[in-house]
Amino acid sequence: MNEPNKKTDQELVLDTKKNKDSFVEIIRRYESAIRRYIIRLGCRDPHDVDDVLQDIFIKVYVNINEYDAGLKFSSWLYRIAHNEAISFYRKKSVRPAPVATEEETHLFEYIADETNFTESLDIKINGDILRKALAELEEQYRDVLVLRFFEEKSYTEISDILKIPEGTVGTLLNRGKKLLNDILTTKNINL
Amino acid sequence: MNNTLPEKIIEEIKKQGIEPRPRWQFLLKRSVLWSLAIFSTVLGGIAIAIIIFTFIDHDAGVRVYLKESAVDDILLSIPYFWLATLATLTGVTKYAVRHTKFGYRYATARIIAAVLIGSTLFGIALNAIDIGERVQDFLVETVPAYDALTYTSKDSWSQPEKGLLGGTVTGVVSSEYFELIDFHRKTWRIDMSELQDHNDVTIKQGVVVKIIGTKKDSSTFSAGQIFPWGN
Repeated sequence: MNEPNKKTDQELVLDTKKNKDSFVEIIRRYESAIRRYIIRLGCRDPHDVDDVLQDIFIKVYVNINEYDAGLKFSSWLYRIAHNEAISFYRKKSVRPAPVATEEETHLFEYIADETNFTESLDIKINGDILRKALAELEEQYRDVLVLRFFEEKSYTEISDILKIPEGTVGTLLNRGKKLLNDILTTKNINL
Repeated sequence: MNNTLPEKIIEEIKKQGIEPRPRWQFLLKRSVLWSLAIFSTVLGGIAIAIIIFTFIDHDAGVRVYLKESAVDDILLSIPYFWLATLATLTGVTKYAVRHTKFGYRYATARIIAAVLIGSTLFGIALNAIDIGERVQDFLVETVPAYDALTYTSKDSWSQPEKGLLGGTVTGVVSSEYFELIDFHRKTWRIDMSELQDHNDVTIKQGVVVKIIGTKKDSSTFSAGQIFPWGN
C-alpha cells in the first residue's frame, strides 16, 4: 500500500512537468472522485468508464502546461472530465442518464431542504426515481445539480468547471431544483 | 499482468509517446484572443468616432430649408452601417474575452457594457482629433459602395437643383464671381450679384463654403446666402 502523497496539487503538477511518472500521483489522487463523477453523469458501462477515465487523464497530461494556479486544480480536472464525458455521449449519440445509487438518495432531501419545496410531497424517493427525474432535465440544469449536490462543489468551483459566471450557476441551480421538483411531483401523482 | 488504472495510463502515455503540449501554444492562443479583443475594441472606437461625427456633421438646417419632415431627416441621418459594425465588433470582443482564461467568470451583460464603455471612451478621444471625419472622408472618397450607403452633410449640400451647393473656392474671378469645385469634383461659376448675406465668409481660394441659391445652368449657380462650412 502506497503512503498518501502529502504534496499539494500544484506541487504534483510541477513534478509532472519534470517527470511524467509523477503523474501517477495525480491519477491516484483523483481517480475515485472522477470515476464517481462520470458515473453520476451517466456513464454506466464499466469498460466505458475506464476508457473515459483514461481519455480524461491523458487529456489532463497533454494539457498540463495550460493549468493555471489561479484555478483550483480539481476544478480544472473536473472541467476536462465534464467535457470528455459529454464528448463521449455525443460520440455514442446517447442522452446521458445520471445515476443515483441508493445511498445517494438522501441527497434529494438535501436538495429539498434548500428550497423547502417537498415538505408536502411526502414521497419515499428512491435512486431510480431520482435518476429518471434528473435524466429528464435539460443538460445545463442537470450539470449544476450533479456538481452542487452530488459532488458538493461550491458556486465558484461550478463556475470554473462549467465555465459560466457564478450568477448563472445560482440561476441554473434555482431553476433546476424547481424543474426537478415539478418532475418529481408529477411522478408522485402518477405513482 | 494486473496493472492499476494509474499505471495503465502512464504505460499508455509512454507507449504512445504522448508529451504535454508546449506552454507557448497556450500563450499564443491567449495572445490571439486578447489581441482580437483589443483590435475589435479599437475598431469599435473608430466606429463610435464616426457615429459621433455623423451626428455632429448632420445639418438640420437643410431639413428646415427643404421643409422635409423631421422623422425622415432623423431616419436618413442614422449611421446604420456603423451601428451594425459596432454591434458586430462588440460581439467579436465578447466572444474573445469569454474565451480568455477567466473570461467566463463575467456575465455577458458586464462584458458587453465594458466593451461599449471602452469603445465609446476611445471613440470620443478619436473624434476629438478628427479621426471620425478623416476615416469617413477617406471611405466616401475611395469606396464607392460605402459612398452609396452613407448620407453625409456633403450629400446634403450637393443638391444644386434644390438650391444647395457646397465646395471649395478655387479662385475669385471678380467681385461678383468666384469659382468653386463641389464635393463631386465638378467646377461651378458662382454668381454673387444677388447675394443677400455672406455671413462674414471671406471668399478666397481654399475656403470651404455652403451656398443657398439657384442653379442657373449646368455650371452656374447664383448665390443668395453663403455660409462657412461646418457651422
